[in-house]
Amino acid sequence: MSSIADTIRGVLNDVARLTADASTLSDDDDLYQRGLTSHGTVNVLMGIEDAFDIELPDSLLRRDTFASISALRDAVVSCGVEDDESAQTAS
Amino acid sequence: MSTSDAASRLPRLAYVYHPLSFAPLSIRDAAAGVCELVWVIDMSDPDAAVFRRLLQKSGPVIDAAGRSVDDVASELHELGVDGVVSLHDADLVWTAQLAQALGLPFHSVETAVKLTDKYAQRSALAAAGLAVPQFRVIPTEAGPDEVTSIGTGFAYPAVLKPREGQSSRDTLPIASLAELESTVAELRARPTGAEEFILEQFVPDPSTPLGGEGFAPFVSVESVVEHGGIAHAGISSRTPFRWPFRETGYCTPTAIEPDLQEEILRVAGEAAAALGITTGCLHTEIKLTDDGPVVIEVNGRPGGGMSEMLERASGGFSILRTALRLAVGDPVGLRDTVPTDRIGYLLYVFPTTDLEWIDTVDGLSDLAAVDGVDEIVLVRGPGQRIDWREGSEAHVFHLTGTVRDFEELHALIGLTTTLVQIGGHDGDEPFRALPDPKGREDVHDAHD
Repeated sequence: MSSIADTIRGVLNDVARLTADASTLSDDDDLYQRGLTSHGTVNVLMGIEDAFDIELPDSLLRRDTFASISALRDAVVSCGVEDDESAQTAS
Repeated sequence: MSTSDAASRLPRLAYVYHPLSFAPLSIRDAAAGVCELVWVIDMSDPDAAVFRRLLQKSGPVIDAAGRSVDDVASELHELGVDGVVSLHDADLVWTAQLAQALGLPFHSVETAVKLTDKYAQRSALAAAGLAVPQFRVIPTEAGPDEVTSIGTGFAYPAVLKPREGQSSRDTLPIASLAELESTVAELRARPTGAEEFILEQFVPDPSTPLGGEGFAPFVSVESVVEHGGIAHAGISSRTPFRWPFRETGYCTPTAIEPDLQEEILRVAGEAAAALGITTGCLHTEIKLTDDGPVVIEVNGRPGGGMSEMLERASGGFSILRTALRLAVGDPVGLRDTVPTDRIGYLLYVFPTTDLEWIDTVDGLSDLAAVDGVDEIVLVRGPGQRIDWREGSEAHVFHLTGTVRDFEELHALIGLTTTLVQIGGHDGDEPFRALPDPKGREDVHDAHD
């Protein structure tokens, strides 16, 4: 079982078209400085919703939510998704 | 819908959405408390279709692909829309037709044509007595002989640009008839070269720095037209252009002398009147010359990036929100330029010398930590191609924020090249493939 952050990194690699491999990014790296565009943001939104089977509420649909892996993780957690702590600790 | 339902809800706005215009989340935020959104998009455009799921979160989505204007209008009428708007140049004429079919205020079809067709616009400005540079159209089907005929007797130096285009794409300097002939031939040889061009006399630079020290002699004006009356929200200065005519940044308010500001606003108002504009937000580009301000272009929507820039500088005035309010008939009542307590800016950063491929972009985090920098967005990163012919859109990164004064702004512009290093190369191929998210250990990424 992977952590929420790992799954987010997988989504970023699949759909965000960043200029860096998401596995090399820290949780707090600015994704916009790594090439995340408005198009990419929409793809990330859909990828996150599909990966975690959630729907991000309107209040979370703002630029800050997509600014970093940690911000995305917070958004996912706020939707009731529980993190796999052991995997997170290991990472 | 019952009368009581209509009275208890916000007005409903049909927003003709295009992905190259304002971002959906910005539109949603601007609409808060102003209107309910009904999105109209062309789902046959893959770039637009990808946004459907996001748009649906803030209102119904109407697919206009392959449908007549009347058919779309009929569906919108059933939804009880109170206004219609587009803030994307290429959609203005279609939206004007839609508004006409719905009997709702927007640019008339005739005005929308003048706002998007450079030839029609210059003709209207000249007919109204405004200073307009000499201009001629080069039709799509014009062969070499016709190009020679069109270019003969023209007052060079000139500027060649697409008849319908933006962001200085394919806007090129032309020094002579011979250069016109070779440039058109080169453009025609490209896969995208089958389009009309307009040849325009180059408007000479002023003999003194009328735009302010360190700024181009070029400004833009954001205007609000309500019930036929015009008010101007602000003037934006431009940082010096990059060859040939690429914009490198904007700031508002401007460093221009107050008397010249008055003259600029007067000319912007005359241009709006010449085009028959009665409602909406305008972005008018003006060059400053020794003979007075010359209108280069009037756009029938807010300028890209201008809304956020002015909002930052003023601490809250949103042109985007104003455009939505106008579209649903919410009184705006703007009387004068919007007061500002900071200087808002948007800067585009290019490689020091033009390159065809970007290899490295180092130092963005250092720049992001500078006081006054709110946001940095990487647009062309390692492994991506960058072509000056694309115009100002083909920059490496841009940054936005506010500063206290122009001295601080010029210092910040300097930091974009001292704190950030952009590496790259010319050639047919990138040294490496585009980023492979499945593991690329050999790739030098953008880590600082």
